[in-house]
Amino acid sequence: MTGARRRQGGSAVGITAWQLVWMVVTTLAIEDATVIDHFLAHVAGIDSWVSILVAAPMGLLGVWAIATLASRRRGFDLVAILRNDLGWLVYLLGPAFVLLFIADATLSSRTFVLVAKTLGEEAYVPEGAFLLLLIGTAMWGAWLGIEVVARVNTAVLWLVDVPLGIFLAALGTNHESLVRLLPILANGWGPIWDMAMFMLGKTGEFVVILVYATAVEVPAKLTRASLWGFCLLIVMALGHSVGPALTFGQSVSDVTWPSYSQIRAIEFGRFLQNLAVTAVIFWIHGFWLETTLFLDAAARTTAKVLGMRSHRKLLLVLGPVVFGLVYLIPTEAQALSERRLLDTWGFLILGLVVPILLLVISVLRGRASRTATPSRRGTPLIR
Amino acid sequence: MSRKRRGCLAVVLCLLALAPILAGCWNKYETNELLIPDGFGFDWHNGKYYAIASLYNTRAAMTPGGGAGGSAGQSSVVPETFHLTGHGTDPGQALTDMNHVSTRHILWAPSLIVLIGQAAAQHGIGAILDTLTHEPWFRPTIAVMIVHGTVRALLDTRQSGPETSVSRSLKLLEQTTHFDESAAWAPRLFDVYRIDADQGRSLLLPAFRLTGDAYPKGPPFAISDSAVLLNDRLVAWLPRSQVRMVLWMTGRFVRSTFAITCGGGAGSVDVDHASARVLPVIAGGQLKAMDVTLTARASLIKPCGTHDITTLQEAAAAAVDTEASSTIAWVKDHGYDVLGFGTDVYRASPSVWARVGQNWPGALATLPVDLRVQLTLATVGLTKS
Repeated sequence: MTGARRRQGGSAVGITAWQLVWMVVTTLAIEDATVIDHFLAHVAGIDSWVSILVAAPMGLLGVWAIATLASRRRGFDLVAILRNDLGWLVYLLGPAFVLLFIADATLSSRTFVLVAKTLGEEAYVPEGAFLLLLIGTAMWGAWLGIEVVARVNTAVLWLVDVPLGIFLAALGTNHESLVRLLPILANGWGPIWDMAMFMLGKTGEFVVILVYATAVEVPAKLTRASLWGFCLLIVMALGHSVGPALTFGQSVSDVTWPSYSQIRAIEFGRFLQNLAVTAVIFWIHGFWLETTLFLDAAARTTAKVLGMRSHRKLLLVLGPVVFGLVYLIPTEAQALSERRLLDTWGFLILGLVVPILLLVISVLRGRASRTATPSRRGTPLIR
Repeated sequence: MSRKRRGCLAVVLCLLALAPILAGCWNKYETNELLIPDGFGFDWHNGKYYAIASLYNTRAAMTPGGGAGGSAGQSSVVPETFHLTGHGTDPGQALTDMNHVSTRHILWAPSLIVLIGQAAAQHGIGAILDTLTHEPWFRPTIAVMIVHGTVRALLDTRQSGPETSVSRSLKLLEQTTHFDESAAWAPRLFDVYRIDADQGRSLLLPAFRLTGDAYPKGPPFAISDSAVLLNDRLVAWLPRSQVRMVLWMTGRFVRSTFAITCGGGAGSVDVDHASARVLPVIAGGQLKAMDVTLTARASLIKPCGTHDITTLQEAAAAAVDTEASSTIAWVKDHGYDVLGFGTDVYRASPSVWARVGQNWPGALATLPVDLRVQLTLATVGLTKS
């Protein structure tokens, strides 16, 4: 675990750039293995990998813009940048970001329940129990501070997720065939562009980096870490889209959760099977982290917009709000529809376009490399 | 990190580690509350689906001397295996009805085979497979097989010998079909779906038939001609002798022995490595022919009349050529594309497929197939007669 540096007294001062990036990468990776996969397979079918390659350069540019903004505007977080560069518009964009983060936390909680239901036996456990565990631990994690969340994430990611993921990928289904990727672009470029825009919007989740920018010890490392993290995500996305296509061929577009179905199809030597239950480890970790991160981001952004000194009490309000909102999206179809809408437009505009505009404004005003002189209301919240 | 925070970190990690228990598996049931199916299937009769499962009785294992496999002289009222049945107008309804027959929980996870009766297959296997794939308890690695007659009749058979139950015999046959290319190929549930989505392709499924004249210690049923399905319905039976060339041409060949004749004698070779290259010949936007190249490496089992390697190789290649030509002729005559030529055309050129695919059985009947066999006799054995 890459630990946070310490003050002389022994207390931690923040998180490293890599810890922050790993959190974003983990949240996107779990979505990649569930909802992203779902949309890619349903819309672009066996050509989904082309969508990823089309979206990758644009996404790389967007991530570079977000990370550059975060690393060059030292001492500023998202709200501080909005307040300094856009003035009163912070009262418009700030709440918009809060709603975006709450919506993401809600949808990640709902998606967790949906995918957990595919395990079958879970049906005997009330849905509320899952949500209570997920959102409760998310609130608690956010209450303890982003440093604790980052450490938990890094530990689980490298000690559990990565070894297990490599193990499952190495096993394969023993039924893959490259020929199933043919013909390429049989349905034209329409679905490809459609999904490329969706993927690009998904990249907008990197905007959460701006919320925690002031908690990062060495912001200068954010750009490099973010770009590497994004490249890793592209590789994972390609694996998650190509793998099921190699196994299921064109019928992959009829599969609800392609990556999960591929894990279910694993059979090694006719004796190593039934590995689907291991997916729950990824789900719990990934969706817990996503809920925690965006719930915390919503609370922090709200606190900053309202000029509150601490965001903790807001967690006690926003947590139950997320819990209640989940019940407004009861079905799989609704959740997936909302997810696509949120990612394609919400994160694309607020998560990608707005940061790029902010970077352009910063550069034009010649403020990009200046250090902030924080006002009382703009004081970053570091925990 | 302070000590307090380290404690919090440990607690959060522990909670996350405990969380999977909520999602999991079978901890709700004790072993003796479970029924473990090994073979199950569906029949169709008088407009209704019938679900039937052969189940291991876990209580039998806990009863002293219990189970059909107990030693002579001991008897028990607790059978080692028994059947549950249910019926309904829909496969899901039949399955639910069957589940409700027993108070015990059926643990579907170890299921290896789903059998589909002849009438049900003729009615269409789509509804059955849709039901199974939407049930989270069933695995996509379950093998799908057809039964001549009814599943009920097959599961009702009893035999003595080392294999003490029908379900175990089925498991043995399932393994046979998986590893022995000469018998058939047991496609997994996801294979069936994938193939069904292929262009113009007919699905091939292995089938069982009750034999009635089995050896005393063998199961009273055997692998028979394979079932050919078109649009999820059973439409024909592919002779068992043709199956291995279908498997070879579709890339699923494992190993097989071919009889050869040369110099007035009979011999045999063992083909242990085989591959196939199937390419559509497209010129001027028209499908002209299918180019099929079969490549094999074989070992000599018994020479036929000569020890000349070249002659033996040619004889072996001729044997493969004859059988492959026969299989291609069957496909063209019947119009059921079990070889997946239509998919090959689509992958090579979707626009060409859009034209020829409209009347694929007709186009298949007149489509020239250029067959080439490249066989290498790699091992000729250690003795010389």
